[in-house]
Amino acid sequence: MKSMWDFSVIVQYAPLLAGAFARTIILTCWVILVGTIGGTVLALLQMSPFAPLRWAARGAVETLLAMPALVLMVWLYYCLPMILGSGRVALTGMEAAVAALGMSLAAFVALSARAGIQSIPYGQVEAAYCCGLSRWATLRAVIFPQAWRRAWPAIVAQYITAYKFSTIASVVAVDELLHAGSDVIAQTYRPLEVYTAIAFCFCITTIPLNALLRRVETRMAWAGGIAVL
Amino acid sequence: MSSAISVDSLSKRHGDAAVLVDVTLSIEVGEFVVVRGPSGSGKTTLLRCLALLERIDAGEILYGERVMMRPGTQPHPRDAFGHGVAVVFQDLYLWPHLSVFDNVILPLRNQYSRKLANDMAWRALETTGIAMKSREYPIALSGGQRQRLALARVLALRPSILLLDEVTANLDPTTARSILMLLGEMHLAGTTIVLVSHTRLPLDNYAELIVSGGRWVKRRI
Repeated sequence: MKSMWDFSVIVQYAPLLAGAFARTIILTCWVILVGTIGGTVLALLQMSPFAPLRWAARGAVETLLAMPALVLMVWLYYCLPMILGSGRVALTGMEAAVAALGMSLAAFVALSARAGIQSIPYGQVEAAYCCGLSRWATLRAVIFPQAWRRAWPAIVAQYITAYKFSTIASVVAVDELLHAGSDVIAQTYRPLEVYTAIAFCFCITTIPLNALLRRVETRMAWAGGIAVL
Repeated sequence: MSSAISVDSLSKRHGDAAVLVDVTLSIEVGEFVVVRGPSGSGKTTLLRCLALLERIDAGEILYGERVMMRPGTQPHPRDAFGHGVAVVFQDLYLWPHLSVFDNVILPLRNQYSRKLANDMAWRALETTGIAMKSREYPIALSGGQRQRLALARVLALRPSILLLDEVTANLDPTTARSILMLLGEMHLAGTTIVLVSHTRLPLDNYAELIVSGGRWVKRRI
């Protein structure tokens, strides 16, 4: 009786899958970069003294939170060129994926960053002003370091989620791991081995990352003089 | 004697509750004033008004001859610092992510050279007796040591007017006495001190600000 498993197909297509895995990592890095910068800007805008900026930032965050990343990505890839004219705007699959996943991540980063900033007792800010610190010095030396410590576990967890979500980029033909795996399946008819190998790739990266996250979280909390609750 | 801080017909409400009603007082340069009264009498609100941290509903607050606050105006809390006013809050509001030394040197770094800021921070830590804890974080300090750190933070800035809210509350008598002695030394060195306390303090040569007949009155002890 022929065995159900035949992992020789994975060995045979290893270079192709490894390249796709590398593209998954690159895609995730871009998404994290866009999401972190965008999220920080949105968090700061939400606390701006200028009401229109606050409203615009809150509206953007709410919209991005309401919209599934997959829908946003497909919309950017297919609909945006139709609206603006394909000659003027035609995003590649990679660009659409980075933009959509990055914007979705930015909304979560903005939420976490704002919660982190607002968790700092206002008395600490008053104390800083009463000691002569400027608004920027107070943000930089008093608020940001503490807000980051409080918000970063949630933000890094979102990074890991973004990494796992990168597989949806296969829908707009980004040659990442799942897309490459589908190509291999089309040629070999071995979905069991290919999907298992893809699952394995994600597990061997996310499980150690999660463990590292918990470890660093505990150490940072103590090093900052803030007790772990 | 000239006036360091004066308040003219100050009123302040929190919602429907009138906290301060038509308060008029003057704190002279170099004076040690204890604001005493039961909980809820408006001591902390008065101190926060003097520090320009609260909006007021009527009257005005002057630093020297200069009007700093009127109804409808909200000066930045840094304006008080610019006039040599420093505040120690009841809750201290130390910066928990910074070591003892960094808590003291952070405000100095903005204004002085690295070496001078370093020297000033060490001097303040030694004066308040917590130099040996300079590498610790506030969470590792006892209540008395935290009070000292809060004092060191403002002492290093060499304020001419020091506003303190219940700095000896919740401290054992020995620690409270040593902090009061430290304040006494600052007073002798010429610092104007306004200290809020709900209890009578073992001090000499000070003025007391109390509520009598519904009005804040100052009397010399």
